[in-house]
Amino acid sequence: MDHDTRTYWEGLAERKLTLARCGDCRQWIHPPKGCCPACWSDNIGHEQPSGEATLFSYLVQPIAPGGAPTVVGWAELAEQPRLIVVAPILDATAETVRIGAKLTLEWTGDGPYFQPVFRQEAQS
Amino acid sequence: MSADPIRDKVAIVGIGASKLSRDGGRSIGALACDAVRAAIRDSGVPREAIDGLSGIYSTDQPTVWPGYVAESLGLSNIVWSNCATPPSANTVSEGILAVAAGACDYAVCYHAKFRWDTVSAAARKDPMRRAPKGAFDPALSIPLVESVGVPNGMFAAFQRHMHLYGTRRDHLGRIVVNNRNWALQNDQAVCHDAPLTMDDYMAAPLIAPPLSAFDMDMPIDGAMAVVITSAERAADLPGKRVLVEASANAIAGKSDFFFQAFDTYDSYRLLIQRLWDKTGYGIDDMDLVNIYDGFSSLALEWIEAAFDVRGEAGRLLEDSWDAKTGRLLFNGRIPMCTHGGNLGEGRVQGFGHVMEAVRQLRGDAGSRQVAGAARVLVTNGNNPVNAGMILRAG
Ligand SMILES: [Zn+2]
Repeated sequence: MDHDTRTYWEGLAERKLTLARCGDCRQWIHPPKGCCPACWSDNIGHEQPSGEATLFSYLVQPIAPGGAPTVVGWAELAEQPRLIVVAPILDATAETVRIGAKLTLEWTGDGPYFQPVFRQEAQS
Repeated sequence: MSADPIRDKVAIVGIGASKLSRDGGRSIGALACDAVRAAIRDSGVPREAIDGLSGIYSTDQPTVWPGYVAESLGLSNIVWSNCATPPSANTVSEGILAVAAGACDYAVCYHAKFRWDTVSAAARKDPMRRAPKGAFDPALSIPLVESVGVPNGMFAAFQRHMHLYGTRRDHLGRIVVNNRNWALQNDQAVCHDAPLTMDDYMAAPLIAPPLSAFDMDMPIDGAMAVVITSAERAADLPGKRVLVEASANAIAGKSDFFFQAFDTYDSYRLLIQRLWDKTGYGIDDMDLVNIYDGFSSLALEWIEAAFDVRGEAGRLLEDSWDAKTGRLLFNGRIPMCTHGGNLGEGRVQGFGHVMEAVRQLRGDAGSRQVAGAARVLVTNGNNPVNAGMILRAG
């Protein structure tokens, strides 16, 4: 945690995805930065995106000793191109994971910081 | 002579390496000094004349800084020193800049790698391999991905490449098998005695699908170094000099290792175009391409950038593949990584690519010699830590 990421972590403690957003040009910024990469404003606020996302890419995480492989996703949020949250894709396997799949946000973990996770919507 | 302060004015005049092995039986500091001593001896420059010293310092693993090397080798006239970020070509390009600017007359540039206990289960059993504690998080984003195991964005970037362009695992295989076959002709390579066929490659278990252990550079104990001076001073030294045509590195916007590893190509392309702009050359002016292969997937995108074929590396690799020799020959003429690359020679983070360029341009590459090699393209690294250069025979 640092001065730029504190609000993000506070959001995780309440199961809320809370991302930095420029108060002037409205650019979403994640990972958070101290100033806006687009307009250089220091007026950085925080807002909650809708949680809608698309799978931009993924990695079948190298198998930990004794553990099952997990699929980690690069979830591109609906709010802005390349606004990416890296999080597990629940119930996905190397066979079922699909780049471009619609994702919905859920939460797991026991706190104090909860883990944002995504689930692939069934293919229609 | 051109007005460019680097082109034809800076020369590499010595190269040296420690033994490259899985277990060198020496500390990382001793390995660095092995390479630096060998490079200075190779150059013929007296020890007292060495006045510049540049290493690679830190990233994911501990390294050795110039103060250690100066103290260990009794180098007491250093008036320019530097620690560059990996990859290895960065310490070389810093030395090139320092000599061009007159900051020093004879620069030694080195890098040392070690099979620390962070590398493997086997290394964890060896008390000589305990890495000093230290943190490295220059993009300040690791805490945000720790809960999901700090996943490697470079692997996700290759998944996206396969999705967008239909790139396949056998395309990576052509890169890996090419480098491993060349390594069989390199006595120093850790894979010198370990042939690998395309069938072996395709049958390998996947560690991070679609990548297998063969797609990841070989962790070793090893160090390499070069000596750099002006072209003028080089003419008075006994060995054959190799001249610098141009060097560059590049960052093209989004570069966070963990969140935004998808635009690596843009930085590669920016770097390559800079080299062409500085020299007026294009890829067909090169006689050898030593393309960085820390992961085979990084090499694939470097190839796209060097040959200006975004999204078409698969086709280019198919067209350039000679199944009989198990090697690549681009445009019917240009070989790649004749030393074996990081994948075959061992992981000194791209330093071998510079060393082999020098050997080839001196005509010292033995059975690997590319006939008439006059110009070599070297690329190193990924986004945002990368470097590239064009070297020519002096
Ligand atoms: Zn802004």
